[in-house]
Amino acid sequence: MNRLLKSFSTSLLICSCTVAGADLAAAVPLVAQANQVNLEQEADQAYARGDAPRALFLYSRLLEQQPNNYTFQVRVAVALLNTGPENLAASYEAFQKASRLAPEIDESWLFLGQIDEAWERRQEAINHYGQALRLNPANQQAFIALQRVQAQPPLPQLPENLTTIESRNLDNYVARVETHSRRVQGLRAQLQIAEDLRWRALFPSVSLGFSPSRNSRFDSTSVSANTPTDFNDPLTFRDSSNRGRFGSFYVGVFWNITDLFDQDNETRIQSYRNNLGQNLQTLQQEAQRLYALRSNLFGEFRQLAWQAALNPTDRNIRLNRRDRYLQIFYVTQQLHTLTGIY
Amino acid sequence: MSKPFLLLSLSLVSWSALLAPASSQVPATLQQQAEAAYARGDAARSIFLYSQLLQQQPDNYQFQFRLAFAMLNAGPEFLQKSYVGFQRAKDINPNVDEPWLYLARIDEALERPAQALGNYQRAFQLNPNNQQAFAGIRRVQAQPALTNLPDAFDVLEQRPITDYIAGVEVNSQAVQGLRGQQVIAQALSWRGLLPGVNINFSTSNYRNQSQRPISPIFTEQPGRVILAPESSQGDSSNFTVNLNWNTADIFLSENRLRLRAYEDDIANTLDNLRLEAQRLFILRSNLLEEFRQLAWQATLNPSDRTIRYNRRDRYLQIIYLSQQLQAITGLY
Repeated sequence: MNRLLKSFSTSLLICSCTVAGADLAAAVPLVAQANQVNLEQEADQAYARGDAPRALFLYSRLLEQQPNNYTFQVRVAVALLNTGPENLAASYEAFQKASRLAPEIDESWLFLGQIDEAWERRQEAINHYGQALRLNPANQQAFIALQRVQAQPPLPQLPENLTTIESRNLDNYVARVETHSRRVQGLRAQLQIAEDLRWRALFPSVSLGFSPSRNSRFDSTSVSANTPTDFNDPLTFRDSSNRGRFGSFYVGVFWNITDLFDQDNETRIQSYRNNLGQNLQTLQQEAQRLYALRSNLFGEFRQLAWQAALNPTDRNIRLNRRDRYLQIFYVTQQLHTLTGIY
Repeated sequence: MSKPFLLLSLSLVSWSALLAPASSQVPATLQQQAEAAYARGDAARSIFLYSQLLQQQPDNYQFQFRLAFAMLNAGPEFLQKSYVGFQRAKDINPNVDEPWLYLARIDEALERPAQALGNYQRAFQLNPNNQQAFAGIRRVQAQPALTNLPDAFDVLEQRPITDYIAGVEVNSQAVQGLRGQQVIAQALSWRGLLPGVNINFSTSNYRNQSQRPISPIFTEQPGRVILAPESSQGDSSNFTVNLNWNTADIFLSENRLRLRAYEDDIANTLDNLRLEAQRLFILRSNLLEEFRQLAWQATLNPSDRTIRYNRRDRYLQIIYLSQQLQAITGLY
């Protein structure tokens, strides 16, 4: 079966594209015939010639009759893997079921490792390849794959499961910009403070003045004539002097009438409002741009991951796949900064 | 996968010589299978089989060399392992020129010219007929040396992105500067409590001279007025202290707005720098990946000028990005 799986996975890529339409159209009578004669034989033939959609269809029917049949299960999984990138996750689940049905067989573990490696789930890939190699030390693919995964520098883990991220709706992101963008929150808080500052003009300036008596003084001397008692008397003069100290204490309260009736602050408040509105609009557009960019990257990554699961040693696929993965990681971080969700 | 393997096998002088049986102690079947796989250029199978053979005979030079050689051909992701493999082979038998030659090729491809030159020279010393070693020496000496990477290639490759993100807050000069300004602004919150102080001192003096008519009590000549000169002089000085408070600054300070602006500025700058660190990390990861591919191709074809040109271009870009990352995060 090893050989069969191998030939299937390498040849089916071409077959699945050309045969799919025709076979689906003819599916009903063929299944009826297969049910009557030998459904299993039909399925084996479809599998042997690399007809993925047909094999998938027939083995699914067989699995309904025998849900615990390992061969049917693993062949459904291989057929799913070969039908296209959109079935990669379903294929993974099918291999998981197969590994539960026959945990002592290395094949399903190897395929799980290949899909994990393709999805950049490094640790899971190492575990699954390691399990395949433990079960079958002669499994060269598992040995080389283990070496390959360990030799590659690990990429950063996505903050959430890829499927979870991929299924999140655009509206969620756009709606959360207003409530979760750090920039918008900051501007809103600054606007609130600026609005509070309107009341500043009502607060007066208070002045306390004090003139201490010790340091404030006056000192005067004067010379004045004495009033003569007789006209012929000579004038006599007298000196007088005054000196003293004085102190005072006062309180003053001042308002700036301009600030009371025509504040500069209004310009600032309006400026904050404009800035907030523009930022919100720009950031919502940016979230939409990033979402669209990431959706395309997801599409590309899924294609490349599928190709990588079928050809784990292909260097160009790996280079491109890892590039898309890193771009998805970066765009996801950008989206999180804007919206608070990944 | 086998294409470069075959390509390299054509260029190897000693390729066929290496096919000779290595030992008779190991079960013949496994060794024969390994030799067959090696002969047909099946790198993956060779790695698989020679790894098993080496478990049985860890000090077998030929097994070790072939494992390293198969790894070299298996792909760029095995370049580092291949280097370690050739080092082991060289340690097992330091008198054979081949592992030295391959070590030199990998060193040259990874832009370690000093090590490359040393290893080429060692290979040439051991085998003066080794034309590739001779050409390698001349090639390395003729090329202008590039700046060294600030850290080893694999250290750069293995450092996790989380280290860089964490490094932004503590190592970014922009964030540190803003935080310093924020601390000063926080200290300025107490400004409103400090009053404006006016200290005034005034001094004045006067001098007055006048004539005052004096009416005597008794006079024989009514209507006659006696004018008496009078003078006065004096000085005074006044000292006052005024303390002024703006109650708006105490209860509703504009500094609140400034503090909030700093807080937002720091948070936004941190976000931006963290994103920038991630952008640079990702860009550099791609460049490291490309560089590894090119270094691998360069190891297989050391004299290819286009590969060398592209490889050195990626290398210089990696240095520049590493410096940018260091400026933001403190880490290369």
